Amino acid sequence: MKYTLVIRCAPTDGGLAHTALQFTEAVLQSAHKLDMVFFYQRGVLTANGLGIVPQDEVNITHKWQQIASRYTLQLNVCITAALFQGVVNPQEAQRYQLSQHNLADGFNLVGLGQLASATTECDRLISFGSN
Amino acid sequence: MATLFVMRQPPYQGRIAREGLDALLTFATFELKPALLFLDAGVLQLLPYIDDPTLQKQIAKMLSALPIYGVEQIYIERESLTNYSLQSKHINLPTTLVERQQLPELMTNYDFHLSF
Repeated sequence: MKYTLVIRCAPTDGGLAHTALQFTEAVLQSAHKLDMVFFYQRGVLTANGLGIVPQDEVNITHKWQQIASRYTLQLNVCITAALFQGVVNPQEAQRYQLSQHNLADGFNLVGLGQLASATTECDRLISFGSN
Repeated sequence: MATLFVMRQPPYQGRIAREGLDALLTFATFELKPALLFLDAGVLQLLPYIDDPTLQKQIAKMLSALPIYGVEQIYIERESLTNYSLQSKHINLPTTLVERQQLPELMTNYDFHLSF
């Protein structure tokens, strides 16, 4: 079965962000397919590469990067939500004449259309966190 | 594969309503024929004129564009309307009223659900 995951909770939202990671790893280790995780709403903050987490705690952003490099998994981030919440890649920083950018390695800024088209191909759409 | 968007939050509580509508309109642009259900406090999004102190884009204006985007399946749950003393005559969109008991059946008609 083919899955698409939507992450809508911030990395600081506690248990849910961890549950999403564990679910992702479980799917990737199974016979099911998962090509893309889509970060939307507060979930885009996961792609902020400047978050510093205490050494004895789990850095959710790093965890996603590790998973994505171990498997073939795209980490796609809604560009509108990301820019609104201050998550910027070098191209957007240049476009909006910002002096900095902070999109973590391994994450891509994409349009909402990526989520829409994913639903034409997947069997299950699983969303973590919302309102 | 059809998606049902479920709106459960009032219009200007954070950006949730706006983000839900953005996603819905994107799905509609891709001609995926998304459907929309207003439930619980989500029915407040249907009120035509709200003086929004946060100066965000007017939700009512975005909703009025739904027919242009080809979004035709718009449902309102009746009990939620009643809870907020609203009637369907207050609503300017072509919508279908559904009873709470009908929701499970309605949901099974869609492959995916996204709740905002």
